[in-house]
Amino acid sequence: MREHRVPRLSRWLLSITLHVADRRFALADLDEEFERRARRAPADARRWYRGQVARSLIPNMKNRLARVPRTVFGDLVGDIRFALRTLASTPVVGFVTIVSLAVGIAAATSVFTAANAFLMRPVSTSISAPDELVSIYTTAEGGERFGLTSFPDYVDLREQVDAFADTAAVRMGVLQLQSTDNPRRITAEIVTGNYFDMLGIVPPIGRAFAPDESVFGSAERVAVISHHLWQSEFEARPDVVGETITLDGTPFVVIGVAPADLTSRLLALKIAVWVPLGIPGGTYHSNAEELSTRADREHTVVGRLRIGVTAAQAQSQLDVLSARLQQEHGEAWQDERAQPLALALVPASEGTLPPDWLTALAGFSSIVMFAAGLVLLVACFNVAGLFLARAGKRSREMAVRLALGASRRRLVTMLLTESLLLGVLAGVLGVFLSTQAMGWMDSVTLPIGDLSMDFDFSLDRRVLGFGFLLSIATSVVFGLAPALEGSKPSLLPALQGAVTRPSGKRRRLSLRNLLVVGQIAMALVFVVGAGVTLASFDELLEADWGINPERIAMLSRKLPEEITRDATVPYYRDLVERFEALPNVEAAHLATGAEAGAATIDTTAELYVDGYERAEGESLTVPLNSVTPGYMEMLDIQLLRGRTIGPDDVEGAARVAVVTESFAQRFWGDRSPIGEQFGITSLYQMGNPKPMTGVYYEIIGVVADGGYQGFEGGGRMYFWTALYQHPGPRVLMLLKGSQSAEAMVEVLRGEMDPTDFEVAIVTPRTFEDLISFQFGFLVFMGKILAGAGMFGLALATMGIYGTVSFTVNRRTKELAIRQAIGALPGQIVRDVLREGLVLTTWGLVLGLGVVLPLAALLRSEIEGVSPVEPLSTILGAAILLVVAIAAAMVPARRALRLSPVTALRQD
Amino acid sequence: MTKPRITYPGACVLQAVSRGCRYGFDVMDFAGLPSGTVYPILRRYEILGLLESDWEETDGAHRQGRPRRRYYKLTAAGEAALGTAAERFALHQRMFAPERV
Repeated sequence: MREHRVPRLSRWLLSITLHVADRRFALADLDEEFERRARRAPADARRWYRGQVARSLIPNMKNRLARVPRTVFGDLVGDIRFALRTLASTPVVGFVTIVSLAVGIAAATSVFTAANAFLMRPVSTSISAPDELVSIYTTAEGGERFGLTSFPDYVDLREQVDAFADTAAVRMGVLQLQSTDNPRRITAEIVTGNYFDMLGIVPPIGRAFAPDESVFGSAERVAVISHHLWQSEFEARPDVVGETITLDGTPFVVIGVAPADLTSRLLALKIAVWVPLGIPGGTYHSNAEELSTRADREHTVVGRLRIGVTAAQAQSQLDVLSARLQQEHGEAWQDERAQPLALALVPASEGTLPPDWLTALAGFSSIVMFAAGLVLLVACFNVAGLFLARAGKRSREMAVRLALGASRRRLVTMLLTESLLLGVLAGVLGVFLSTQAMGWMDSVTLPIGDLSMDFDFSLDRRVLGFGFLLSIATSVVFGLAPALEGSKPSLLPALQGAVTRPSGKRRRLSLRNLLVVGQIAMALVFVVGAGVTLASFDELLEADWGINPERIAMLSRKLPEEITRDATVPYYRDLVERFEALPNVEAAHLATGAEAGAATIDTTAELYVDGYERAEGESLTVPLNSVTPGYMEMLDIQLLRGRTIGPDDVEGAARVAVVTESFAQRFWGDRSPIGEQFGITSLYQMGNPKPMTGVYYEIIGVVADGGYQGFEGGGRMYFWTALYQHPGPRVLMLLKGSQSAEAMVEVLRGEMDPTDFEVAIVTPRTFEDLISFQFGFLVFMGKILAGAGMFGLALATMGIYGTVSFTVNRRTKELAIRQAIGALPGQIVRDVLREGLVLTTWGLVLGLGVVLPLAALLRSEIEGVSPVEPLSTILGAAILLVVAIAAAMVPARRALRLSPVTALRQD
Repeated sequence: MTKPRITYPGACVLQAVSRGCRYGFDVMDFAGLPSGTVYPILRRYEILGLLESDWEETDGAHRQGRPRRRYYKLTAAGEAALGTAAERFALHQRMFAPERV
């Protein structure tokens, strides 16, 4: 039995190129050897197999062509043979064409696949009748902002709406996997017991949740694991069912393995494990409290329409339910602007993403696709330029053929065969490069927040096919014009080896010049684009957060259960003192969160201020951080007035708060807010609201505004309170080192209890790392964009050099004769240079004309895009200028060194 | 029949078969040539009568859980052709000098 899968694309390529008589045993021999190697090292075996195929393609094709009788396809075979020989005789041209096209195709297909993974990935093939599926969101009325749904609402929907054959609720979570060699946080979906059945998924190994083990409130600790986790944790053992895995410190029995291509419904995120909702005690934050709170909207709801029911009918039933829920649960059914909410249905045909995400992501991915398209366009220009050049160079050959009686049709067929051959070769290479690129992207994990996330970037076969066809179409289209041109030279001048430019060539030359101008313009777009992208990301990462995170590291802690409410503050004080006493520790502090989006232990409060009239729909929810005395000094937060949290701010004393300038401005205008009070009506901790009454804070200080809320944060309002006045069970331990943050990470790591999964909410990390983690995804996309820019620039440079130097090369004879009849070398070089410079200048002007308005548009559309950087633009323009000059100079000088006689004899 | 022209890869293949490499992959492995070169040569030489081949018994292959192999051996004409080729490719002769065990 064959256990390892031979690379299918390679095998297919081999089988179509092999001679029929060899096919069976050649493939069998290779398969046998592959299997033998795969048993030792599957990855090496695959590489070996691909290598074998790559080395065999050309001999195979040569063999096959040699065998076709020259009767029916005689011309074609002759053409192909001739094309192969031409290609071999000008290897550089062939190489540049093939590589340009292949890279262009690879860029386009890879980017398309990535965008596809995020935006419109087809659902897992294991899902039955995916067209019947719909996603149900809780939206603000009017259909804006598609949000998640609360569990009580899901239960009502399930019981009261009969348009659906079945509905399931899914909550995304992150669990700590305990594993001997690689404990880590993994992505989980906490699902209603019917999830797999509703989707029609039958696990290939084991089974899905049974009704009796997923009863809400008494669900059992069972798990369906992903194909990937099955391989990494259980060595893909078929007898995995019945084993246990430890998630968040509790054992779960593995009951099945999910199909390999099952991802989350959002963003094709790879999910590692599925566990039932409603396990006593809860999983992740999915506990009884969350599941019974109507305002706690954390679930994605997926439904399957009853047969014969349309989406519109289902939506009208949802509208009835929404109206009832609005009436029954007034406040929980309003958004923060006190607008009523509604349930909205989105059919699977419109994608698995909420429509508003789709819009946001589509804008972003269209930029990336534009970049990839531009790379492809540059490749096409290169190909067109080279074909044109070749056609020009071969005008004499064409003239001889015409003179000997070849029809024009034959000549065009011959030239087209050449382009087609290049297209096919480039397509094969392009497809190969795409598979490599996607393989790499698929293996990359993106750090998002504190978690590494995997996306399913597997390559779609249709995309590959499209890329291949694109390659062929490109080469044919761009080969056609030169073929038509090349096949009608004016016989006499061409045969005589014309020196002057006959009228027929003027147009061709100007087409070539147009290509150069276009290439230079596009190269400039790449330079500026890459510059702007990199600068934007730099700016984002270097943004002024209003804090100094240098030399600080942190770790999350949970209060041990045996510590009583009264013992909490002494326990925390001990902790701080113990760390402060350690060598190399400059300061040790506790806080409930960290500024600049570094840690996601978020707390927000709903405020009210006596005498302040809340405007219609105004939200007064403000994030806060409870900290120990000296914390704000440690972060160098700039104090404008009053004082920060001090050692006397303890339980029993008046509750105090330090607020930002915007906060003060909002309620007290230009008056000093010191001594003023504000109250809190409810406190949200990790999304859970906690109503409060009679809790007042006195303002003791005002600090400068900063990006304390992090990248996502909209407002500048923020405040700090004293941790020792109301200590909570979860804190962050922050250490500032006297030398480096990394040393502090080591200290904190020593503190970690590996069995304590609470710790893993924030594992020991430096403050700066954690700030940049929130940009993980953006940085990744930025790298791809910048990479596309660099690729494009390299391709364009290659094309510019090729086209310009070819143009000058063609004038070898002319230049030699001019020198022979007395022109000074300096004059000739100046002349050649001038032509190159004129073209380059036009290209640069055109490029700037495109790129500057484009950059301005982007800047107005997307927040955080940097302005065009003059330095990188000038540098890029200078590089292009140098390339163009070199491309003109090198052949010109060579022409001048030749004796006129030699030059004239040259073909 | 005209005397076949033995190419360098062809000589390698003959050499490999004469040293006991009996089926396609074994030859590739020994001669260091890709499949696209080896199989056409094997077939051409069979047509030219330098080699003869047979399918392996089905049972043997099945027992070992692998596809059937096509086994080759040198004919008398093949031996002669190899002799001629060996003279032409002296370096090649030296390369394969140590007997393969």
